[in-house]
Amino acid sequence: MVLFEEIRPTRGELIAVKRRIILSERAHAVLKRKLDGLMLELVSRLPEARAAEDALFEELVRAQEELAVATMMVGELGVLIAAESIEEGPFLFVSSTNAFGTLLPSFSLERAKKNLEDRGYSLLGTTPVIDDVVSAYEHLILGIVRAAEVDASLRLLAAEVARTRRRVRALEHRVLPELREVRRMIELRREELDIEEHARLFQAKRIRANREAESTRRPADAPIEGSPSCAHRGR
Amino acid sequence: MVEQTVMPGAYIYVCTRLQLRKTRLFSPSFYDRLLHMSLPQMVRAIGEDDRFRHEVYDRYRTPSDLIRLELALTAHLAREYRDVLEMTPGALHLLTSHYLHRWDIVNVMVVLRGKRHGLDPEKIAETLVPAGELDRAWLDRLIAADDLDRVVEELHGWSLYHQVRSCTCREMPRGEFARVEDRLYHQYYRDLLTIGSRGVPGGQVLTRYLRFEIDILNMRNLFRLRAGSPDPDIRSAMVQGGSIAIEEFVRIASIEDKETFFNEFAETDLLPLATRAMRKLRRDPGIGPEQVGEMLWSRWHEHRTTVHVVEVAVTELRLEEMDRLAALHRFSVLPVLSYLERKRVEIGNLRACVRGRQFGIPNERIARYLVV
Repeated sequence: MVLFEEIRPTRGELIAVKRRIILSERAHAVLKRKLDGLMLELVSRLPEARAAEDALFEELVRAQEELAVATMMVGELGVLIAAESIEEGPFLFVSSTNAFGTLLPSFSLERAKKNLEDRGYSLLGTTPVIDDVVSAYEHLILGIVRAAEVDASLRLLAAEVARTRRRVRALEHRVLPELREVRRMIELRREELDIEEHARLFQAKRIRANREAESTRRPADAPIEGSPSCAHRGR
Repeated sequence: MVEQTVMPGAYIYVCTRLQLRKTRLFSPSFYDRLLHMSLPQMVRAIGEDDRFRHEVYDRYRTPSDLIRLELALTAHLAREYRDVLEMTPGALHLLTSHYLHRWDIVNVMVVLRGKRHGLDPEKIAETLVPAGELDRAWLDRLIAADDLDRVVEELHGWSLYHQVRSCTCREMPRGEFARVEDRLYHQYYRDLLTIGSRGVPGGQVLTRYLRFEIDILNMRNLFRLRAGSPDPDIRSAMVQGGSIAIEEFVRIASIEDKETFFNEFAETDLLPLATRAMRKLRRDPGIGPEQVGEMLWSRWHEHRTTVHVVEVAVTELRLEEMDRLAALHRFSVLPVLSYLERKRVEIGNLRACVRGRQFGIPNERIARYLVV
């Protein structure tokens, strides 16, 4: 809320307010365009997110099924022993991409899918059920990373959309109307001041003109030395 | 070499005892009943059996703690194996102990990997199944060793010691543990085949059975290598000593057209076995080798491993073959090995029932994973 009493109705203030209005209008237009862009980006990523989520769910179900079968066939101990044999896990590389000023994460997983000989467990000491469960979990971890990337991007985009919308609305419904009101008040006040100034000047001019007229009239009307009117004034 | 025909009394005693023990293994109807129980009822039904009571009630505390139940079952298996090992005399003992070396390999690799990755010693100890030449005291010494070098030192005197000497505290090339484990298994089969051909009772039959087992193992691994590796080294991965030559597997590995695959596969003894397995699995005697060949080709073509339930059916047939040979050679090492395998399968079946129930798998599907 702007306190109008605090506003100085000066020309400088009016210029400053006008500049702020122009800046706010420009910011509003830019932010509105950004909001539209963000919304488009968000909407375009939604099917991708849904697909990643569905794929993740399928991979999870498959991995759980394979794990259940593996646990049935070689026991939890067998699965644990095979799991302990893994010598090297996958590497996660995180980078970012810029979407309308928002940094979105980009994950890439290396060495997630390995050849049989790189997995670390022995061929003769394990059974094919271990291969299948490892393969299922390799796909699952890729699915998790993909879904995490899409999900994080969506969350960041949604947060940015909310923040931008809040700014646009603030500009639209609060900042700009207030500034325009301030400008109107200053203009009105300045108009009043102008009228007052004008009136004062007019008055002053009239007084001055009267005085001048009076002073020009005096020499003609002045009494002759020794006349009764002059004697009366001197008394 | 001619097989011995005169049986020492101890052989007859041991084989008869084990035949008797075999009759006490859970019957197929027990598994049917088990599959209609809830998880706590299952555990109680297993624990109520005299053979399992001690281990199950000693280790299993809460219904959700199924790893404890699994540990109890493996502890029972280890006790049973050691019992059999103590019972067997002379050459029978030698063959049995060599047959059980596969458990030593599992245990040694768990300790080596555990030490390398700095696992909790208690956790390592829990995972072990002391069913072979390395007893619990020896394994405890391995676990208590400070580092990998000390573990390898402690293994001095173990029959497969020279294969693990490359394991060291220093930087090891990636995949060295897997290579060591594979070398151990190669040596394991070599030793068994050598001992089998020394003229011990049932040795020749055991060798024949081992060749059969190696063929199945090699074929299964051939599918795995094709599925999991773009350029596999077939020659070094295959176990030597099977009735199918390694060159045959190398040739099959390079096949990319259906007709050649089918022809090559038909030349091996494995197609009739796979056909019998499929007939058993689907309870359809009308299934022919062509259909099985078609199925195997589709898996081969898609670079996938073999179907697990078919593997289970093949295991069933393998055990049936062993039982048949054991019945033919009643006082040899075969009844002993037949009992040991059946015992392992019994534990596997109980585990499959319990775990299948835990994961909410339908009974019909669990039943397909049981070797009965």
